[in-house]
Amino acid sequence: MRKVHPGILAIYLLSFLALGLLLWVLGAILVNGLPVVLHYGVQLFTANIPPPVFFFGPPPEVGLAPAIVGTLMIVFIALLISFPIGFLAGVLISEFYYTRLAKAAEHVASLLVEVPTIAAGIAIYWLIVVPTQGFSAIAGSVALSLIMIPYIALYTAEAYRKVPKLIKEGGLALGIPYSKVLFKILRGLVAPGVITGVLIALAKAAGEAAPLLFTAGWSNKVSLDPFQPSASLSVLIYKFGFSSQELWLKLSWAASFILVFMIILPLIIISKLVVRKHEF
Amino acid sequence: MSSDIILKIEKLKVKISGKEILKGIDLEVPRGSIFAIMGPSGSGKSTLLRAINRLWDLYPDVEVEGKILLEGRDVYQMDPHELRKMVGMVFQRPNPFPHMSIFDNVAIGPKMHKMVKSKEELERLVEWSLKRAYLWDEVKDDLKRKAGRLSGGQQQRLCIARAIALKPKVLLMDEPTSALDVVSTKRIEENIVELKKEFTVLIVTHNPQQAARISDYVAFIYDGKVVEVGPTSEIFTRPKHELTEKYVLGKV
Ligand SMILES: Nc1ncnc2c1ncn2[C@@H]1O[C@H](COP(=O)(O)OP(=O)(O)OP(=O)(O)O)[C@@H](O)[C@H]1O
Ligand SMILES: [Mg+2]
Repeated sequence: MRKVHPGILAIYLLSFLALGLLLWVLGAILVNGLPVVLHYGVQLFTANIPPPVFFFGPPPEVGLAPAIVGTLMIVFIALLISFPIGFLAGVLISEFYYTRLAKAAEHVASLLVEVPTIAAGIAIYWLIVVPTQGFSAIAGSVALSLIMIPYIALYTAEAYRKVPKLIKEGGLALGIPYSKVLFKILRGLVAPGVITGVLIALAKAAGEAAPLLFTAGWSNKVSLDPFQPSASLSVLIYKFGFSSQELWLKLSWAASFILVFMIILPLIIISKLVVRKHEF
Repeated sequence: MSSDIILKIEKLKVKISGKEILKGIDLEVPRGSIFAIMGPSGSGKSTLLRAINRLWDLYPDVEVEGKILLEGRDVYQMDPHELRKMVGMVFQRPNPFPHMSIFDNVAIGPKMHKMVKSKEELERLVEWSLKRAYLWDEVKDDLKRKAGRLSGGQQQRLCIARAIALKPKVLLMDEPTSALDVVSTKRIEENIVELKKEFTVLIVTHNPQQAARISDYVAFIYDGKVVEVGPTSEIFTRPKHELTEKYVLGKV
């Protein structure tokens, strides 16, 4: 038998371990979360979050609507903020790489993906929550934007870099302005890469609790006003996950199931499909 | 200046990252001719073409000095987009927009320059261009096909169609056949000779036979300088310079 290098063996073992852990976590969420979701059914998606059973007795309705709506709204607004900034930063990084601004942008983006996400929460707490004297969904969105922008920027830059120079010059040589070459002609070529970046950023942002804790606050009722505090699935999981109340614990499993199996995994799967469908 | 000279290059110097690549080029290209630029690899042929349509503009480490006059107008004083519309370019390797259809590859230039007023006019222009590039018969049944699916030779002819759709005055061709087989090369050469009726063609080649076959004038460039220039028949029968003679005989 061929001898396997111990380093390679270690990598294999660790990969299996990591995969095993991941499957274990997913399995736990599935086993604990799915029954709760099935038990409460549609109500979970429409009703407000119940108050503590201890004080008020069993609630008539049990739902996660404020957290689901909150997550969708906060993440959607974060996308509106982070897409234009991240996309333009990515174009800058790739196409004007020789400028100081581009080099700075690339460094900042590479740094920001490394920074613990709680830092974004703390920064926005001081920059927005304290001056406006209140938690708000939009403050949460800005905090999530800080996390999303670097992903979108780096994926966009990569997508534009992958386009051969020869093809860009083909457009320029027709007398088409650089901006139109980048945004119109190359659109179809860079779209898969950019979309992948956006989906990855969304998946990442949707799962983050730390940046929302000190920014978006909390609300037991559904609120569509971005200037009011808002609940979110990730914060709910964090809050209720350590609760001693059985109902809240159950709700935190249900929220985990919705977040992972109905939001994050679909985003990741779509992003993989986008790439596969567009590979030449 | 004589109106028979469509393109005039004076004391052109190009520096890339501080290194002088073109060291003072003077050339006069007569209207309606096929003007070949030949020279060994690395002599600066591509660099010269890219100075004419100002493709170097976007490279901060490239400096261009000297004058290039198109119809008597200094190209470095012109709007670069207008200039590039007047001076078409076909690259050393085929570079269609691979994700776009055959039709769109040709149509995009005229559309962006607002050259056509109606869909029918655009369709006529695309057909005209594809016919001039001798690609029409092969693709007319499926103009929606992605350009990336065409063969190398077809892609290069598509690039020729794309360039002439703008009705340029001068067509720059950078070794348009270097990536192609003998059959495609022959097709494109015949094609270039036809194009001369409507355009002035400045073609780079490092193949002296090709220059002899199709060109009216030829310039021999070596190490960033013009060694010899003149009517093709003279250069090939009575080269004045020893280097030219060696090159023509395939010894450089
Ligand atoms: N973008 C660039 N950056 C640095 N050097 C370059 C660049 N483009 C060309 N050069 C240099 O300029 C010189 C001339 O290159 P050029 O491409 O003009 O040669 P050529 O005559 O077209 O050769 P070939 O027949 O191989 O295409 C070469 O030494 C090359 O290394
Ligand atoms: Mg070349």
